[in-house]
Amino acid sequence: MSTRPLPVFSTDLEFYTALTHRNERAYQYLYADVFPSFRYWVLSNSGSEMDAEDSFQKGLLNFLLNVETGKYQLQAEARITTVVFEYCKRVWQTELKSARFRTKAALSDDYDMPDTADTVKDLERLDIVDAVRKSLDQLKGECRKLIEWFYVDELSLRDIAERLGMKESSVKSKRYDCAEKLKTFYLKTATQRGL
Amino acid sequence: MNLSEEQYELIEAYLTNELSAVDRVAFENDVKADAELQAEVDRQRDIRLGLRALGIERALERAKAQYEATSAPAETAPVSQPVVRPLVSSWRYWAAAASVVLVLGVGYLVYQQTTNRQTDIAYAETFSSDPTTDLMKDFPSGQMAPSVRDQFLDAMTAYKSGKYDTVIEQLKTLPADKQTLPYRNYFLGLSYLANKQPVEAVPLLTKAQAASSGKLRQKSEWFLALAYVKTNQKEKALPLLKRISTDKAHPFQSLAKRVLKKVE
Repeated sequence: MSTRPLPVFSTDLEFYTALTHRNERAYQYLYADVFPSFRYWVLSNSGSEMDAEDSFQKGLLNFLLNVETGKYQLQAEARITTVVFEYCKRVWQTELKSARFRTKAALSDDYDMPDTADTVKDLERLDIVDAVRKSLDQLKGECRKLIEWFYVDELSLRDIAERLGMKESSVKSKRYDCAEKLKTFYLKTATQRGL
Repeated sequence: MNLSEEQYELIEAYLTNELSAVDRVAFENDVKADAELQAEVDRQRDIRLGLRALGIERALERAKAQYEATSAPAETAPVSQPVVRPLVSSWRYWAAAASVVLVLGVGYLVYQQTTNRQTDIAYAETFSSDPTTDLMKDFPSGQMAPSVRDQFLDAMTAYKSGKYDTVIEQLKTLPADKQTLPYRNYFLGLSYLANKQPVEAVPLLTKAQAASSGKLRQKSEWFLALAYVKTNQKEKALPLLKRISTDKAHPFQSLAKRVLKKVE
């Protein structure tokens, strides 16, 4: 039996708003609604299960980052799930377009390759994400907690102060110290990776 | 470029759109005139983007796990299932949900072999001595708005599947009036406890305890005491446990005595 999350968003605007707030029910709905058909599409286009999952993850992350940063705005004429499918599809098409896949994938000559320039830019952005991830891993102790709580989990300084048993003003100063440490690690990683 | 704290805060405010229009224009002029500052702003923007993406990734991982736990084998395309919801507007649902949360919380806590074993056993015993019917008597009998009822039923479904994150999301946005707020806070607090987030549970159970009476108050203070133990706040746990353990009318008196002995 297949169970899907309840269709709790009566309009795309409601759904979009939930996505901007990182609502996990909205995220889960994207998996349930888009992934099965996307997986089928990848399998029908020279991809494997793993390719489908990987492209889906990347496409979703690109889309959600664009939602949160305002690069993607809700469009009345395009359903969100359709747009997400398109994001993911473009990720896989970009992979197919790359030399690695060009040589091994059995694509027909008349396969219509779309312009994936925007997707390439979005995917390059994921290199930055990876460098930040590595840099964050290098932070230790309270610094790591503080940066994670503030920037990743988006807790307020007040909440963090409560958790750490510190004054809010002290947390603010510590955030500066820790952010500077993080920057040092990031600069090193970014330089090594040519970002 | 090494930033002073003041420069860092200014960039932070700029990137989060917290500068006034005048300050924003002034800052942007400074950036245009200073290539080094421009590079620093770009770098800070990249780092924040990366951290934001990590937050999204984590939420996505949880959503994916929930999806995988509830979905059929991927070979079958999903088919919309009609949702049949009972047309009952009653706070009995809150009671039922409480029992489910407790079951899940107990399951997790008993399973977890931690140094808080005594606390975990106390959880288990709390549940065994806490039949749903008892809790039901405490709930207000007012009618729920249909939208609230639907959200609550969704939360119920999520409880049963152990999707605490989903439950928390749902309860956080669930409208509640003065009468029902303590119940929502109590449930939310329990959900956080079951989700291994005792730190988040503390303020909610504190509010539930302060704004309620009768059994709800007793339950709230008991779980609050356990949340304090879980978060190593011995100084806050002790007075609560002492109070409960000396209250003959408190349903958790004997359990509180045992936990108190262990904590002391």
